[in-house]
Amino acid sequence: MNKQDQERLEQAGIDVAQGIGRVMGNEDLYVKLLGKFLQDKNYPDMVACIQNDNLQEAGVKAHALKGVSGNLGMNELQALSLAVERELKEGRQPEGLERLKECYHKIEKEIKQIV
Amino acid sequence: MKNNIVLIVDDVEINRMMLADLFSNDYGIMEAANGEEAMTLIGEHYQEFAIVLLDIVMPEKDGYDVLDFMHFNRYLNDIPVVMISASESEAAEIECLKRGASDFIIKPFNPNIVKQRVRNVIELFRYKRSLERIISEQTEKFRGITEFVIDVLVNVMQVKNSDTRRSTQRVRAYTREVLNFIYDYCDEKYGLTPQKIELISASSILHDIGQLVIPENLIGKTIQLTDEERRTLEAHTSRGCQIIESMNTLENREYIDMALEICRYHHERWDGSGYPEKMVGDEIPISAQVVGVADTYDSLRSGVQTGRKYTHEEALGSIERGDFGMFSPVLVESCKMMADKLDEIYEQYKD
Repeated sequence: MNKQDQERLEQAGIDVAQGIGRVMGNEDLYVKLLGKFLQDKNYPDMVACIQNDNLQEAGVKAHALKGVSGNLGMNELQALSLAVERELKEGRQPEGLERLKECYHKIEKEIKQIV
Repeated sequence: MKNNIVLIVDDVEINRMMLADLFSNDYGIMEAANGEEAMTLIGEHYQEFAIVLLDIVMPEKDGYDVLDFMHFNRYLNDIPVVMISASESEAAEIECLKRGASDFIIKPFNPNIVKQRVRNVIELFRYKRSLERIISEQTEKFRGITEFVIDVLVNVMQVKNSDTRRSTQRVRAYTREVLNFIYDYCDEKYGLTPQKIELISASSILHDIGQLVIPENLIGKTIQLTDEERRTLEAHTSRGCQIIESMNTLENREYIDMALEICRYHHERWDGSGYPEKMVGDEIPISAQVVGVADTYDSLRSGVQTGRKYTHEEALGSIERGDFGMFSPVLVESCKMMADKLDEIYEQYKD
């Protein structure tokens, strides 16, 4: 990964050094996992569940999104997922959803540039 | 090497890949994407697993279900489980540890910490298993000697009462089954373990050894006893303890202590109507409670208690009503739940 790529990701709220640290410095694996992240169904499933007012199931998806984003160093996305997960568990339509969507799409866009 | 596979259970592929990467140099890796898959793999490959790394929130059976499944099937004794979860609640952590998980790691994790903790747990379990193997080999050796001595004694009792041998075998078998049932389905207040259950049921065969020194015409007599006859008969508990004490050697202390406890208290009853101490409720050791109910069931079935052979249903009814003293509701319920098994044992060792 070149410096430019790294900066792109960091502007999208990803702590790249931390993410690479989580895979014991294996940068190739990290990039591969970022690619996998785009295929992970938890984000689209969560959005669909919220639209269908299935808030309990959406909470499970938000929980998974929180875990995986944290593992990849996506700290902003992790924090936003946590906020949404909490709202969902209280049985509310999450107010934090728009910010989470924004953050996710920013990340999605930057990762697509790289992989 | 045997049991050298790490089973990674997480519904998110990225999380599985990250963990697999941490351990693939040192261990074999298997993966499951939900609790259901994990249970199937554990059932098929449990001898190969060094550890299970388990997420909590998953579709198709979650991490709690997997822990319960492993507890119920006795896998937790051999395979450690480390939870790896994005849950930040202490309640979830406590719940997992209570259900038998060895450790709890929160996502996102530091890979070095995960690697080291998991390795430590694996090593600890390997060490524990090797110790257990040594202990069970030694226990086996001395059990052989003790069982020989007991065999002789039970044979002597047989001369006085021809059904003693069968009855002793049956009481031992009921005791084991009832204890296993309590271990599987009831709370943990009795502190049962598979080893303790084995110890109690093995020691149960000495519960009536005191009958050796009771006049033959009194054994089995329960009605129309004079006060003196009753005292003599009831003394079979304390006289039995004297005999067991005399078998005491340093190596089999655990066995002797258990046999003493059972022999002394197996006629105590939940409502305080028993003897010799008139103990009440769970003051009575669980070992003696279970042998007491097993012994009562058997004497009703074989006709020793009343002179008439009760059917299985009649015997259970009598125990539930407390005709010969009340038993703990937990025991009565357990006996009812596993009724077929008791009947099966009676029929199997009838004569």
